[in-house]
Amino acid sequence: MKNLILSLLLVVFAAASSPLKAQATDAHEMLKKHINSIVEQVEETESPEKKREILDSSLSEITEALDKVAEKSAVSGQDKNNLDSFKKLLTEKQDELNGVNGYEPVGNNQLDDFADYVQQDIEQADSVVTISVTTALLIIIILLLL
Amino acid sequence: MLKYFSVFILLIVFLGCSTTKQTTPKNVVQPAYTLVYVIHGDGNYTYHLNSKKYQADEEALAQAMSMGESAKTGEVLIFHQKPERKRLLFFPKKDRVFYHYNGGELVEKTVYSPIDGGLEKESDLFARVKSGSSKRAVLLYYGHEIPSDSSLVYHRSQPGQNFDINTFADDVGDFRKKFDLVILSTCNNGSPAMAKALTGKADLMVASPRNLHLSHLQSSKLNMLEEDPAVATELLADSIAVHSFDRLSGMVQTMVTVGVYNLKKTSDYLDGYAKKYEAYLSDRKQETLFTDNSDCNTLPFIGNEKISDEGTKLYFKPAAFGREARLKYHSAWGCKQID
Repeated sequence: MKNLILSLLLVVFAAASSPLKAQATDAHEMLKKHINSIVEQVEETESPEKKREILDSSLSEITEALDKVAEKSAVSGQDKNNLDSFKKLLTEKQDELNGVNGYEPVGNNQLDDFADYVQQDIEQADSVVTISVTTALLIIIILLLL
Repeated sequence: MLKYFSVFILLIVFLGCSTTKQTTPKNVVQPAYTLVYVIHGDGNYTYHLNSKKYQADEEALAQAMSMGESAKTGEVLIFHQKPERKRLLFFPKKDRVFYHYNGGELVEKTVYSPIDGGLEKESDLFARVKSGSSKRAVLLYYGHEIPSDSSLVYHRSQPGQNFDINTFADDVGDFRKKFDLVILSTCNNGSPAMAKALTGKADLMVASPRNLHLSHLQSSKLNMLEEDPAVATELLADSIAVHSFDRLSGMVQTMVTVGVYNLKKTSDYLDGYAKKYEAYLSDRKQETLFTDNSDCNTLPFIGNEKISDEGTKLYFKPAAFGREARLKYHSAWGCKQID
């Protein structure tokens, strides 16, 4: 009986002290961190051509990851809508970077500011947070595999 | 043995939940003014600036506490709505924190749990400290956009708790009969729906009709109440808007819009537009919480009778990039464009 109670107490302690949703925001944070690392790479690079290449390929990679995740049957309809909104936002940025779909291409001397703009637009609209934790995790995993 | 076990459980649940620190202030001040900060911290508010990560609600809290310490003739009440967790899976852990400053001193710090998705518990605490008596009062809300549609999840730790513009406005009315000024440090709440909902509950509103970078409305100009207790509310609101606009314009590449709304003046013409807007929204479904507004006057439901700018003043800087980079003008009114 004593052992049983001791075991129950341990379970209670674990339940009382464990942060039940400790991991809940980690996936979103990882995604924001990934975007921040792209901005850092752009700003640390000297050559405009290289800056443009980093931005273009990074935006393509995230879009590709979003597409792959959206194909999964386990992803909810709501999440598919959120992924679609996020993808539209990224596609707009890529169009502007490359000067297509009615945009003038971003000037070579504006690429650092443009990288900041992309990050700020994503974070202030909080496109990342609307996606569920599981889906955000899937995006991160796919980004790591690409 | 079972008895001891039950007592132990109860001790964990109850001792762990009740934390109140009260101190007797050296000089209790009959406050000349009251500032109420409601800081929503239950929505994953992080952002980066120059590669550094910031927790937006903590930034807003630091700002509010600084005001609390400098308000020598006033009082400052801060409600920090942190994510609500459960103890032993069922019992609320009281994760929200209430701070009460009087005369520049922290006189109470209490943890609490919400009653609902709105501000009912916060207005109860406000009433308990009898803070409604000061002549002047300002309410500041820091958080994500307060939605028109209550079905959109607002509190991440409590997705079942609804929160929308009408709940917010009703609960603002529970704090006191009327606020001199309501400041909304949120995206997209410079809207006909919000202005209509707050009419009669506040004289003036400072808000952004479009996206607003997280936590960035600055409240430090409220110290004008210390320097000149008779300062006109219009001047106070305008100073806060200009200060916030200047700071934001210098740090972000995205569009910056900060508006000042005289709710008595706007009520003269807003009702019809607000009804039209509500009807427009009722026919459409907003899919996600974070959808940026457009200028109401560019939307088809407005027709040829554009919404007046009377009683409003908008500080506007277009984004450095994007479809609206060349925008020369924006009205003070933001509306959702939903296809």
